[in-house]
Amino acid sequence: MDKLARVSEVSQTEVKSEINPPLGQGLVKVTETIAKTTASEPLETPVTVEVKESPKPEKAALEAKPQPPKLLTIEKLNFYFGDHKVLKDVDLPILENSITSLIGPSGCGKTTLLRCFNRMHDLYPNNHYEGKIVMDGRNILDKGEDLIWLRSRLGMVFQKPTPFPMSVYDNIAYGLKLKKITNKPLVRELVEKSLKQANLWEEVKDRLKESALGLSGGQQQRLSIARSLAVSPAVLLFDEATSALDPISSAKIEEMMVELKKEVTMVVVTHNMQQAARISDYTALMWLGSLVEYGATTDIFTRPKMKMTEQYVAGNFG
Amino acid sequence: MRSHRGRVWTSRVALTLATLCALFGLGLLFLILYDIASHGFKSLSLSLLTEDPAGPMGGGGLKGAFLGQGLLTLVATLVGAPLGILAGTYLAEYGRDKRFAKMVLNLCDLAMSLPSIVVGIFVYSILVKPMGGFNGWAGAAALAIIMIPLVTRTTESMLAMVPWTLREAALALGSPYYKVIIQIVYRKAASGILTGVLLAIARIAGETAPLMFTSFNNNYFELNMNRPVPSITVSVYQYAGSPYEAWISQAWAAALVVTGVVLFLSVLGRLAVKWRS
Repeated sequence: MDKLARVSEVSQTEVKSEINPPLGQGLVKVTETIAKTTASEPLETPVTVEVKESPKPEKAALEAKPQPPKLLTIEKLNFYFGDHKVLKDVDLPILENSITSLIGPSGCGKTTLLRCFNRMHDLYPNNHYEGKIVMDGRNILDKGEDLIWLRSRLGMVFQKPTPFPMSVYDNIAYGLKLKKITNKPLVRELVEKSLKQANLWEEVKDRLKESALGLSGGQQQRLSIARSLAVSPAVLLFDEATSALDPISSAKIEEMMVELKKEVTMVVVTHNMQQAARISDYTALMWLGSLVEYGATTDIFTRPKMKMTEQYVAGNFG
Repeated sequence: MRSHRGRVWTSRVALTLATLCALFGLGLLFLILYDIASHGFKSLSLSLLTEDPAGPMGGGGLKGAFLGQGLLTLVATLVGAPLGILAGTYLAEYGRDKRFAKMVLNLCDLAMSLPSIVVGIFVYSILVKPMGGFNGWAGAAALAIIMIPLVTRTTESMLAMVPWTLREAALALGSPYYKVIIQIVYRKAASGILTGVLLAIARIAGETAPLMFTSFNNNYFELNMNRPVPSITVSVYQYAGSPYEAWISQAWAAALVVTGVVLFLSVLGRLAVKWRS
């Protein structure tokens, strides 16, 4: 009870006051233990957030650089299922060639937000958007938006792998066919390229003609990613894409995502705090449909501005 | 709580009763099959399939009836299967969660258990009486009407079994919905839909009642659909009711062939599921 009361108090006073904090406030210690912040709640285990050692120089360099340009800008986004408002005045930038994590407890609206980007909600009745998501100067939430075009620009990877019931090769070529790319050598080249990008080529190059349903779960997930990459999207949306996989398969996908930053911008919904800390450049915490805090991942995990963020990343609620 | 021994005995009694009931049901089924086989094999000969009917004194065959039945079933399938598949597609894909679709689905269940003779009389009133006589089209139409709800229902449930995220994944690649259905969902559900169609064919291939009022029968070789078309099931009905020994034994043989075909289709339908998975 005490915890709940405190949390809602925090949310009333501090939600969405600080967005887009300045970057480049100096380097952060690689490993920091987040100390207990409130005396009333005993922490069962001290949570250690590790910012991985290896990508450190890159990360540091990235943070020292000026902020990359905004690819997508969410402005005052409200979203309703029927009369129920599930996203409340969300303002959030998605910066180019970076990974943005959306974290928050179940039901906080992070998946709902993710599915606004490629208008997945439009498949179902009784919901509507208010506000804007701006991409290339236009609001992609406009009624007249070409959803087929939009979805080929913003690919999506789901929680469960979704191999199509066809061969590995045809799975990747599927999106190319939709884009009327039928020149055989070109298709072959693009299939190989996207499988390589997804770190799957070596494992499947000898079984391209076999059914994709015979691959392991982790391979199927990388196949889904390769399939999205084949149509060269600007953004890839990951909806808890590694939560159904074993740690080794997850690690392979995380590694690949960091590699992919050069070519595509990623937005990742995750329940795995360590994953958010390891791979993302920016992190946004959501709670009850509102954005609590957004900032550079290192800031969110080591010196958050909001008490709520501090508690959430330390595992104290949610 | 009752004692362990008590529960063991209750379990044994229940198991015994259930086994006896199963044996009784299966026993009757095998009795029928045995009866048909033992009578049928005696008079089964190649001439049954290759010769035209002869008089009650013996000889001849039911070539026309076999071909006629095949033709009626084929036409019914060509009409019924696509209609059923498309209707099932509407119900599972476009009409999902709509009240209209739910209503149609319930009516479908009702139509599946409709006595086939009712279908026969219905078709008689719309396709036989106005046309001035029994004809093959009416027979095929009656069979198609029986087939449509069966195929609709199986198609609907097979499509509904395809995980929704698979459609979302294809849509998220920028695929229009109709392509998702044709290229992904149908492919995933293909074996199930095929099974449904085969079982529906098996069902109509053995129907007698809807044909008696529609395509009726013909003692002559006739594959003109505008005229009465002979069929095995109606022939069996007529021959078996006749006083002539030769016709009765031909009826047994024909019944054996029809049973064999239906059994084969059913087994094929179930095997199709295994082959794909």
